[in-house]
Amino acid sequence: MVPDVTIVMSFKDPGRYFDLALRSIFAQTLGNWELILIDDGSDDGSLRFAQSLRDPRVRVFSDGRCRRQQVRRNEAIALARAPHIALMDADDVMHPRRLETQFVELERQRRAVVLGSTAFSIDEDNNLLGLRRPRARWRPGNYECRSAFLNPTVAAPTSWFRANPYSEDPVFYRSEDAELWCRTSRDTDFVNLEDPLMFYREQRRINLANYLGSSMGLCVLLQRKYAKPHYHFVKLWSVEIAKVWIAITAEAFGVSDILVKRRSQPIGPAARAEALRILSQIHHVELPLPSSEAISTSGPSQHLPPEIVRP
Amino acid sequence: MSASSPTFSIVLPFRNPGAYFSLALRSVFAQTFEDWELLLLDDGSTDGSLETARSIQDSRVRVYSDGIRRGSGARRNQGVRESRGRYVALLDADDAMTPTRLQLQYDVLRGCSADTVVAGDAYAIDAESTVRGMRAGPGIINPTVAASREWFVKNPYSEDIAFLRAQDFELWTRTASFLRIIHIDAPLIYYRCTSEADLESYTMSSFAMMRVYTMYSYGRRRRLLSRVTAQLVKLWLVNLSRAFSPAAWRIDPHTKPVRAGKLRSAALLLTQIADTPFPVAVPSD
Repeated sequence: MVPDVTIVMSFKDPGRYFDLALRSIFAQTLGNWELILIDDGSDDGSLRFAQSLRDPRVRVFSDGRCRRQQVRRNEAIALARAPHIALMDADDVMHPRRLETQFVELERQRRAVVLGSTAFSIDEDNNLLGLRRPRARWRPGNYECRSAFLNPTVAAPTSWFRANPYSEDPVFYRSEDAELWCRTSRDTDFVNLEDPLMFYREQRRINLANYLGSSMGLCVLLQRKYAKPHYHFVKLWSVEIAKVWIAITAEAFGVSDILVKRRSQPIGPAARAEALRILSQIHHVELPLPSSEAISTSGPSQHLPPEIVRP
Repeated sequence: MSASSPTFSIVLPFRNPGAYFSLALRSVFAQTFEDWELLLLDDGSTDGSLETARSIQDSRVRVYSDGIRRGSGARRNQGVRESRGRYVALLDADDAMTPTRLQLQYDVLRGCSADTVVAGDAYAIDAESTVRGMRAGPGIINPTVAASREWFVKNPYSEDIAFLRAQDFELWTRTASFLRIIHIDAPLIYYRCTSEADLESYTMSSFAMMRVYTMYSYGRRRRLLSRVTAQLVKLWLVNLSRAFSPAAWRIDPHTKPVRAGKLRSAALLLTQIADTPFPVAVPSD
């Protein structure tokens, strides 16, 4: 049977977050999904954990190498069997109705759209921090499109992802989504749903390695967009450089948590209670694992098919 | 020395070096010290330089290629793993060695313990391979470095994708506290300094350097912030000057002038290197 939605998840050392991310997939109200788990050279045992899942809907791929998320996503998109793809990161958690909601909406659309949503943000210990929204307004083709979506909430037709692959330029190793949205915003409709369909993981403090990585990609994106001098460039470039300085300075003084908090909005007590109820429900979903003694004999690990294994 | 374990392994990673490549190769064959092996490590070149590398007919030359881009740090580590020499000498594909480079470094290295790194000066050459002066500026000029093979095995380059550029800066910062370095006061290489350095590469280097500052600040906050601020102001200005007047922006190529006589002899030496043949399978035109 052809699945309705393929969930694309690449993982590299997701550690303790992996378990809840997987549970949230088995908690989905839409059951006809396919999960492509594509390893990017993990060495924290998560590959073995993925291989021990006993469910025909789960396909695990590994070649033992570290090739970056952008490359892995393209590989997974090539392997997808469903007409739609939902992105997912190994440290995030899906709302149980995520796939159903997005599947219905994507089927309803007459033309290809990229579909995102708002998201609850959660910290390292699954505490609820608030609600995150994507940028409300952007003009197609503008640099603002970089934040048109909260990236792990995105779903789109498989054919769209295949026609618009991720850039494999390593300079975008932490900003591959921003690059994709900036590149495609002119020719594609971007739609965001008001309902929070994900629990989005935020570290309490800024991780400077990640921050510098994504800023580097954004700066190069700006340089490429404004190959000819333009006064917009002066403004956007200055803001980008200032943000890097503020992030490093805040982290040096140990107060970068203030910047992280500013990203999400507070939520009311009713919505909070509901979100917590859902999180605890996901916690209690069982993963299809064999009994503990059987794990050692694990693994239908598939190797990447030859056409996408590069030399 | 037996052919299987030469004195020097020259580790040369390359990614689309274009026209510069053959000068680098010729400079190896122009060495007065001949007990070397040359390891050519392709990093996903698409400009035909891999074919050039493979056309060399000399048992001292080995070519490695897997078609992907992993960064020159990862490639240098690979070169060190594959090397059989007692010492490793680094070289970049757009630079060229002076003919006595290996001899000069051998004379120093053979009297040193295995934890010593030997670096030196460099001539600055432009895109047309005209000698502009000496390469100035702080820090170790990475392609002049030679050290024992063990040293490089113990202190590998970072293979983190963040150091696609400035991976040398990461290594020398990481090892700074225990580095035993001897500096030879003589030019060991011709170092390519193009004034119109590519803006994207400059941005990538800046971010990689800021990453190094944050990784190795050891809690010295003022020092970290002054370095990061200086780096960001420079990056900001370089890009803005381009926005205001495209012709005016220049990244300081860090050269210092030298006497006219020295400049002439350096240029003459470079033409001799450029005329040095290297053995190829099919005669080139």
